[in-house]
Amino acid sequence: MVAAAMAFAGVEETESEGIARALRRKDSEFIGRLVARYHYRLLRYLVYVTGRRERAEDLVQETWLRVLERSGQFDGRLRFEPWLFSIARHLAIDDSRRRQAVPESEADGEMAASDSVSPFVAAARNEDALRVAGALGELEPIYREALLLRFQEELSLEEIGRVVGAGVSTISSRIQRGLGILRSSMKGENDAR
Amino acid sequence: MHGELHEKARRLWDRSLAEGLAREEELWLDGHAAECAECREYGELSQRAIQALDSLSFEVDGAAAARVESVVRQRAMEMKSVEDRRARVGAAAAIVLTIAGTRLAWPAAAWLAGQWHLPAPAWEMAFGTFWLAPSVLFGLVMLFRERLTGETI
Repeated sequence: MVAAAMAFAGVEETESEGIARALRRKDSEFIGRLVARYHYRLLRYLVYVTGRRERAEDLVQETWLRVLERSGQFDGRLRFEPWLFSIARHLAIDDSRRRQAVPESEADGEMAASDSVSPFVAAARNEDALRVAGALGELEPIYREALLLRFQEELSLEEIGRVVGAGVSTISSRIQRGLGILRSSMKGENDAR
Repeated sequence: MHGELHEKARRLWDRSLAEGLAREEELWLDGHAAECAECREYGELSQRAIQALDSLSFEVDGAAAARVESVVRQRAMEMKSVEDRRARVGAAAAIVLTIAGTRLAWPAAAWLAGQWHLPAPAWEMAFGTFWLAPSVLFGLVMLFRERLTGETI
């Protein structure tokens, strides 16, 4: 009825508004499609934030369950992606704190059992990518996520700021710093040639 | 002086990639890059780094993705069923409270109307408007919330 009334009034419903409405109504069909559509991007974001493939896989499901719980908070006036990523980020931070509280011996065991190859290196398909992947593995997560959100997700600085809870100038300097480190990794290769 | 120009050009390159530049800054940078091979290389290297970043491709475990989708859909259905049940209980409670409240409020309203010498049709209509209608409306909204908030997308 709402969609019909909007169409009648000549007001186009935006994609974000459609998502907000489906989430509020717990429309399982639509939500299933949404999960499938964002799976790769959410997984990739979580890999960048955690630096660990296995953790990222675990957090994807938790993120969607949290999205359902908080569906009333998303009104569709802004884009869906920043909201989704900010939920994922909070979960990743909570998860990291929980893991830091685990006694060192248990954490070591878990480390040894998990990703032996950096997920970034595993994702590299050419020489340049391998260089960048190596640098990404060393980079602090705040710089990695800023690079991902800017250059792969193509979010604006304001949107990135909403995801990470920082100002535009902070985000800009994180991107520039991260880019500088990636460039250095490429330059190393250039110098070696 | 020359060093300052290179420094400025690199600062602008970084800023252009992070947040974009004003038109004049862009023109200045283009002009400088056309003449300075070192700064041009700096910009090209930045672009290559971004392209390399873009080329990283994470493999997706299709079974894991399907599992997540199924769990989330299941949870959405459960939440919807709880919400629907709450709405039905809310509507039933509104009806019960309206009936019980009416049994108490009707004699009181009749007594007050007698004290103020109001004609029966007038106070009965006011009672219906201000006492019965809001409760009935609330109950109906709770019951037909689904249809009022929109169809399946």
